[in-house]
Amino acid sequence: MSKQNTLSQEFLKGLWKENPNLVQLLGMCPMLAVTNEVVNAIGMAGAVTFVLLASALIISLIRSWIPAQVRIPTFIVIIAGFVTMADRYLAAFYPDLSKALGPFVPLIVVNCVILGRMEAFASKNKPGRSVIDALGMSVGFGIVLLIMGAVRELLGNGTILGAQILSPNWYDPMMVFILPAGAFLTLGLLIGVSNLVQKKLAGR
Amino acid sequence: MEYIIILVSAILINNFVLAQFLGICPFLGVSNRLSSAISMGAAVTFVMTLTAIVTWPLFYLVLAPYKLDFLQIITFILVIASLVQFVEMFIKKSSPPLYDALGIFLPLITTNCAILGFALFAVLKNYSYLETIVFGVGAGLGFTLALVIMAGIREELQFADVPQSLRGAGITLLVAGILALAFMGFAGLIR
Amino acid sequence: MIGKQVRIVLILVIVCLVIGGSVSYFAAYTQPMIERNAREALKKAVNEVLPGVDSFEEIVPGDSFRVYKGKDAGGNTIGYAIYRVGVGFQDKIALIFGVDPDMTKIFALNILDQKETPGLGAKITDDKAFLGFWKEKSLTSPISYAKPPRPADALSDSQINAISGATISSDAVVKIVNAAVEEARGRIGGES
Repeated sequence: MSKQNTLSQEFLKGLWKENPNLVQLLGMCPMLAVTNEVVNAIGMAGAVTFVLLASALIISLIRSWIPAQVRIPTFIVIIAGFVTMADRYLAAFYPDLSKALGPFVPLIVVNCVILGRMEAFASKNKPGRSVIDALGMSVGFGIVLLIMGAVRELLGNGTILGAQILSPNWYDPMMVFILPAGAFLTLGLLIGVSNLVQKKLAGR
Repeated sequence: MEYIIILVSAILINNFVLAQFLGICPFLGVSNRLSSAISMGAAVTFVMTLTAIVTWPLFYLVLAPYKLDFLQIITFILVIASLVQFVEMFIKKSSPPLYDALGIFLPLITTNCAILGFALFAVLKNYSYLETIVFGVGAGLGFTLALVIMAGIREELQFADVPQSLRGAGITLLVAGILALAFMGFAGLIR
Repeated sequence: MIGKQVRIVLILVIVCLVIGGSVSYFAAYTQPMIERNAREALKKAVNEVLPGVDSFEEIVPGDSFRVYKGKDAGGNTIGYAIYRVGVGFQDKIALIFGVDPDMTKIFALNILDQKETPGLGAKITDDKAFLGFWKEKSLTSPISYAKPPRPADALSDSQINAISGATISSDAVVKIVNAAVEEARGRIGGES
């Protein structure tokens, strides 16, 4: 049996080495769809964090009772339940955000990050570890969301969270960043940069 | 006429992958070979159409009348997962060569956000039964189109000198960005 | 053998019931808030296009076309708020505008939902100049748009200025409004 990671290692791996987006290449859809504004990125990060943590906790707690053959449907039902709750919560308390995020909150249920973590980790580890793993992944996911959101909103609109950073007097916003094309371009470059950094760090 | 608009809109103007950001994971993972792109596209189109056929009555005849619309996320995904399961079993029994060709793609379709996304969109847009089915076919075809174009490009890219760090996902996304820009030209087609 | 299968089904059923139950409970809890948010949004929209409105009621229900009758505090009908969804450049545009009881002029226009090109067509939502042109426009003839833009006093009573770079979206708004007025006249024409 391999050596178990320390708790802090479980947490940190989600941020960099096993970052869900940049390394595992999971959860792409929301990354591209809701990062046109920082506020949307934050909303999505919050929703995903809630669903990841809640699902990891519950699934890890009942893992010994779930028969192996039906574990995927069981995971899906549990995840879908939390996603529905997150979606309703946003619609009730943050209606503008809910409208902006649109169908991508319900789509969290098919976000491979969540199902992947349940399958790979939460179903095989104790609740404490599972929650920390989930937390690390959430933070890693959230950081990438924020970076994407900041880059796209700043370059495409000159603002961050609606506040004018690059004044239109001298900066003509590059509209393309707010458009779907810009999402693809930004993420592609981001992955390229992160690969480059990873290689350099490994080479040392 | 309305149906043509739905089709054209789903395939070109609001392409599921390049404009609506649905189905990105298979788009990145399966678009490196033309043959797998076509297989995946066909499978997705098929499952989407089936999903349309099943989820429309489920929502409008079961959930909505009993004010249970909030259960749509849970029920839709379970329906999709079961549909994919049945399709897989059916293909395995009836046509083993087809099953071999599609391989692991079938289970992957369950987590394809394009399918669930399609089901949710159709409900949002309030389409009739037939409109939903046409929308499903259109969405699947649009997905296939994006995948096939990307596969064609990637097969060529294999001979190009791509910087190490951009290989794989990086360059695919950049190409997708250019494709998305190109597809923007279709806007205004339905006026 | 049977026991194992029963166990599997039992676990699944229990999980579904527990999840279903908790979600239903939470959904019921949030339902009033969600409905209230929708009502507030509608009230805000109607208030913006029917100045002085105190209460309103839906007199023509529908999905893509609705009419609300607005009354002031004294109970007098001050006009109608007409809601319509139509085709824009990229996708559908939803808008609402207020008219006087005889439908001879528009009080104001508000764009509720659109997916037009950001930075171009999307300007129809918050371009104050564009929205300003709609105020007090006459409906005695169909609304039309001027392109290139003309100074305000050179516009006819039924003309608005299109947004530069967003002609098609502006045109779409004009078309939707004209169609809505026609439909409204047909449905509630003689009423007051």
